[in-house]
Amino acid sequence: MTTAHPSKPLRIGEISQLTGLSADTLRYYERIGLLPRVARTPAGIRLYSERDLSRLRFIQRAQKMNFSLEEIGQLLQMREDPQHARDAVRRLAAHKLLEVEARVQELTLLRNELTLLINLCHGSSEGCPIIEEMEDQPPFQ
Amino acid sequence: MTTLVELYHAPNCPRCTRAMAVLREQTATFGDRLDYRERDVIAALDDAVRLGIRATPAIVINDRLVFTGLPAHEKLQAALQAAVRGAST
Repeated sequence: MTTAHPSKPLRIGEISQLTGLSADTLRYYERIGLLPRVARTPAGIRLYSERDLSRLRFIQRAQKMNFSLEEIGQLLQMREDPQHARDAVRRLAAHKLLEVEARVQELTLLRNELTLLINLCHGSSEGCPIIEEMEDQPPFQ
Repeated sequence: MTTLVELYHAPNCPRCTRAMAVLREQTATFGDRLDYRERDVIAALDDAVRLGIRATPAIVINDRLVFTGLPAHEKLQAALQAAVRGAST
């Protein structure tokens, strides 16, 4: 997957390569309305715009945060027209923002911990504290 | 209020050994106005991460990371004096 921005409409294979989403998934997102109807050539070949790609990347980010497709659909509506979002959608976005901030905080702690452990590894001539630390921890529940 | 000074150290860290010697000597001059502790960074990992410690030795004064590495003698002395002064006001 790359982060290139298309300057011209892209076909489904190209979008699939850029996002890592399968063609079936891309068609499914369009069918359930996560993507508005994608433009087509006279021959019926889908042509994805930069805006479509941006929506797909938003969907992928939200999925990584375990948002449901239904929630993502609502947030996408707000993304299209933030000023006219319904109250329920605004509340959902605010709630999701809290979840994202909590996750950022957790990730920051994890980053700091790994940085410390790696620095300790560099300073260690015998063994590596990162290994000792992992061995001391119970497995994930 | 007593000033708490903590040195976070790691095994096999020569700079930590040096920092321990310096801190033991410098903190002793403050008597009971200052409480000095040495903490193994691996044993106290959660606290170390919370304080933002990224490397050892790390010097924490009153639950705040003040130095990473061993500062110059004058700098350390000034920080200790300021903390003790602050605690007595």
